[in-house]
Amino acid sequence: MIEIIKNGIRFFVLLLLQIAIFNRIEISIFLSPMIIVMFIISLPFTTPKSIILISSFFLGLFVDIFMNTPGILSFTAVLIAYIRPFVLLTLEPREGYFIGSSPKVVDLGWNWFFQYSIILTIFFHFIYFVILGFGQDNFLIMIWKTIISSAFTLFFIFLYQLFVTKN
Amino acid sequence: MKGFVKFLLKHHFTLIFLVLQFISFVLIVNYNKTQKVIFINSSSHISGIFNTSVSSVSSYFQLREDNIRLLRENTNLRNLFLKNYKLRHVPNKELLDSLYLQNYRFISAEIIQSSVRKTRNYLTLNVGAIQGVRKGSGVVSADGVVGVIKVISDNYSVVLPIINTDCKVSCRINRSQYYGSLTWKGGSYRTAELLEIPFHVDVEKGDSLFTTGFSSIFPTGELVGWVDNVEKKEGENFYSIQVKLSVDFQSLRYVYVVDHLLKFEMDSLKVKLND
Repeated sequence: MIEIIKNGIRFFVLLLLQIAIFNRIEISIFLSPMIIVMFIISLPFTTPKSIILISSFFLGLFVDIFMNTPGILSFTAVLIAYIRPFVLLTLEPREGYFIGSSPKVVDLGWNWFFQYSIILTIFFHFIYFVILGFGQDNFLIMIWKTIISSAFTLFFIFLYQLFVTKN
Repeated sequence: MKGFVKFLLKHHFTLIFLVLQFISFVLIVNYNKTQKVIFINSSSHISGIFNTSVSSVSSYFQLREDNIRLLRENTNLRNLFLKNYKLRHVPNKELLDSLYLQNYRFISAEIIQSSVRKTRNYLTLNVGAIQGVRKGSGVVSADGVVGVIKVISDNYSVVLPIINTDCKVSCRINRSQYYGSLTWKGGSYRTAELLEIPFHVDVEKGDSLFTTGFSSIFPTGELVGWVDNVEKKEGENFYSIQVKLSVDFQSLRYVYVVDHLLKFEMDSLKVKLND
C-alpha cells in the first residue's frame, strides 16, 4: 500500500517537474531531458506488468499534452515500459531479486543500478528523438541529442539515489 | 472460447502494449502535423492557465532585462512614430491636418510558452480574438521580426515563428535592395538562411535584412537580421547566405502583434485582379 502511494506521488511530482522545469530548459537544442523516465525506472519489481504499461502511457500522454506532441512521449514511454522486464531479466543477479526490493542503489548496489538506468534512459531518449525528428533530423545530431539529454537526466537520477533514497 | 481467454490472459502484457502503442501511433499520425491540435493543446483552457501561472512566476527573474528592453523599445517608438502611418492622400497638395490614416495597429502580448530547440517551434501568446488578434497577423518584437499568428482562440494565440521549418518570410537586403526568402532549416535558433539571391548581387557580411512588406503581414522595413556568411557554391545559381537573426528567441518575452488594418482592402484588390 505504501509503495502504491509512494509511486503515485512520484508520478505526479515527476510530471510536474517535467512540464514546469525540465521542458523549459532551453540552454541548447541538444538538451531536452525527460525526467519522467525515472518513474518507469523506479517502479518496484513486483508491480504488475500491465500497470507499468498503463501508468507509463498516461504519464507520457500528460507530458505530451503540454509539449504539443500528442502520442510521441506516450509511445516512447510504453515502449520503454515494455522492454523493462527484459532488461531486468538480462541484468538479474545470480541469486535473483529479493522479494519486496525495488530497483534502487540501496537494494542492488551502484554497479547494477548504473547499468540498468543507463540502458533505459538512453533507450528512452533515443526512441523519443527518433520519433520526434522522423525524417527531418540529421542522424548525428539525433545521437548527440540522445547523449547529452540522457547524461543530464541520469545526473538527476543518480543524485536522487545518492541523497533521497535511504536504507 | 476458453482457449481464447487463456491466450488473452497469458499474453495480456504484449496485448496491452500493442493496444497502447497503437493508440499512441494514431495520436502521432493524426495530430502532430495539424495546426488544429497544436492550437487545442497549447492554447486550451487548462494548459493555458497552467502556462500563464508558471510564466508569471518565471517572469520575475527576467524583470531587469525586460525593463531595459522596454525602455529601448519606447525610445525607438518615439523616434519612429510616423512610420506606422500611411498617407491618406497622394501628397500633390499639402494638407496639414488629417494627413495620415492608421495602417498598422500594434497589440502588446506576452509569450507564455515557447520552444527553440525543435524543428517545428511554436510560441503561445496570452492574447487572442477578444484582444483583437487576427489569424495571419505578423508578430514583431523590439529586436525584430518574430513570426506569424497561425491559430487563435478567444484568449490565446499560437505563433509560427521564423525558427520553424514551415515559415518563410520575404526580406530585402538593405544595401542592394534585392529581396529573397528567409527560411530556417533547424539547428541553431540564432541563424537562418536567405534564398534566391543571384550571384550578380553584391552581398557582404554585415548587411542588414529588412521585411519587404509584400505579403502585407509585416510593415515594411522591420529588422530581420544580418548577413553572417556568404558562400558561392559550385553548380548553383544562387548564393547560400547565412543570416544571424536579430531576435533571440530564447530570451524573448514581450512581443507585439501587428494588426494590418488595411489588409482586407489590399487583399480584395488581388481578388478583383483574378476575377
